Amino acid sequence: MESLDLMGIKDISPDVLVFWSWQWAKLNATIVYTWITMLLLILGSWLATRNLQAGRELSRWQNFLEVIVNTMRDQIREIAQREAAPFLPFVGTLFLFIALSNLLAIIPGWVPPTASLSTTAALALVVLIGVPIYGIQSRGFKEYLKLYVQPSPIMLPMNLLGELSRTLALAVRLFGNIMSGTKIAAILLAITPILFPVVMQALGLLTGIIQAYIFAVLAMVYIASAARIQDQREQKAHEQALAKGDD
Amino acid sequence: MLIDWFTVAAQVVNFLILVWLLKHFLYDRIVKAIDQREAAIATRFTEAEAREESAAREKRELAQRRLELEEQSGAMLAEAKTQAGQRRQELVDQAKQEVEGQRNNWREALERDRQALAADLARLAGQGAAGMARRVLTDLAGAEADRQSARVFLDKLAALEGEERRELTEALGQAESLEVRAAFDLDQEQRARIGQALAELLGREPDLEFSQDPDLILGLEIRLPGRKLAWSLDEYLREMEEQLLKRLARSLNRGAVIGAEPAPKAEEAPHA
Repeated sequence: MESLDLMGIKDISPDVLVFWSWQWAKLNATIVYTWITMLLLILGSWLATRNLQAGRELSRWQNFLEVIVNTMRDQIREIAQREAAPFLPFVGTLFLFIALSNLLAIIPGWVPPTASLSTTAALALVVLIGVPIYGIQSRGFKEYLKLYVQPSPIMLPMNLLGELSRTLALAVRLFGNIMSGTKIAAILLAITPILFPVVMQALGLLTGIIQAYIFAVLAMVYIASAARIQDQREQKAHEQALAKGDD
Repeated sequence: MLIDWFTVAAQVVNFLILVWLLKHFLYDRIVKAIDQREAAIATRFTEAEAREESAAREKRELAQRRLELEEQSGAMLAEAKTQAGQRRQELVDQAKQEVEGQRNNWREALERDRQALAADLARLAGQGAAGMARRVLTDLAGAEADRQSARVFLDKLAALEGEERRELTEALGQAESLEVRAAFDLDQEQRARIGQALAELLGREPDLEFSQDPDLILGLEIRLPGRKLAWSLDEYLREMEEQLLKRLARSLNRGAVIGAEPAPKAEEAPHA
C-alpha cells in the first residue's frame, strides 16, 4: 500500500514525514494533506455555489450541499436551542473538515491529517479558545468568568481542570480512532490481504463519520452550555423583573 | 513526541482560514439560497392560500348567484305559465264569446227571417180568408140588407147600457160634429132616425154629416176624433182578420226559441 510506502508502520504520526524544512519551519505530511483537504472543500463549495439557484431547479451539487448544511443547521439548533447562524461556520467546518479527511482514507496512499495528534490537538485548542470567545461574545466578559466559580468558588479548579481535560479528550479521542483505524487497516492488509481489509475499511468510513460527528457535537455542546447558562440567567432576571412589576 | 507544536500552530491557522473561506463560499451562500427558497415557498403558499380563498369565495358567490338565478327562472317560468294560462283562458273566452255572438246573430237573423216568413204567410192567409168572406158578403149585400143593418145599428145604439153608454155619451158630447158613414146611401128617414137616436143619447141635436163608403160592405159607423162607433161587415171582417192573425202568431210563437211580438199589428177597434 502506498501509505505504507509513504509512512512506515512504526510511524504513529504523519508529522514525522517531512517533505521540506527551513530552520524551525517544516512542511510535513499533516500540513500537506490538510491543504489538500481544504482545497477540495473550498473548490467543491465554490463550484457548487458559484451559480446558486433560489428557484425550483437545483443542481445536484447544490442540492447535496444544501442537504448537508441544512442538516448541520438543524443539529446545531437542536443542541443550542437557538438560532444556528453564529455557530454554523465554526462547528460546520469542524465537521466537514474532519469528515472529509477521514472519508478520504478510503483512497490508497491518503494520509488523514486527523490521524496526527498535532491536528486533533489544534482542533481541540480551537474549541478550547472558541468556547470562551462565544461565551464572552454573548454573555460579556465578567459574566462568562463567573461560570468558572459556579456553583461556588471552590469549584474553580475543578472547572478549569474539566475545561482542559475535555479538550484533551477531544484531541486524543479523534487522534486515537483515526490513527488506529489506518494502522489496523494496514496491519490487516499485511495479514489477510483479500476480503477482510475491505470490511475494515468500510468500518473505518463509519467510524470516521461518527468521530467527525462526535467532535462537532461535543464542540457545539461546550459552546452551547456557556450560552445556555446565560439564557437561563436572563430568564431568571426577566422573571424577577416581572415579579417586581407585579408588586 | 507525538505533538509537533509547529504543526499544531499551522493547523490552527489552516483551520481558521478554512472556516473563513467556507463561511464565504459555502455557508453564507447556501443559507441565503435556502432562505430565499423558503421565503419564495412561503410566499407561494401564501399566494396559493389567498388564491384558494378567493376561489372559494368566488365559488360561494357563484353558487349563490346560480341559486338566485334558478329561483328567478323558476319564478319567471311560473309567472309565464300563469300568464300563458290566463291569456289562453282569455282567448278561449273571447273565442267563445265571438262564437256565441255570431251564433246569436245567426239565430236572431234566422228567427227574424222565420218570423217574417211566418208573419207574411199568416197575413196572407188571414187576408185571403177575410177577402174571401168580404167577397161573399159583398155579393150577398142588397137594399134589404142595408136597411136591416141600419136598424141593427140603431138597436144596438139603443141597447147600450151603464158604463158603455156613459162613455159613449161623454165621447160624443165632446165632439161638435159627427160623421156618419154608411155602406149605402142613407135615405131621409134613416138619417132622421139616426139623428133622433143620437139626440136621445146626447140630450141635444148633434151636427151630423152623412157620407157613403162602399168599403164598409154592409152597415154604418160614426167617426169621432180618436174613436168610432160602428156596426158594419167591414168591421166584423176586420175583427175576424185580426183574430185570425193573432191566433196564427200565437201558434207560430209557441214553437219559437226566441220570443217575439206578433209581427202584424191589429188595428185597435172596439166594436159597438
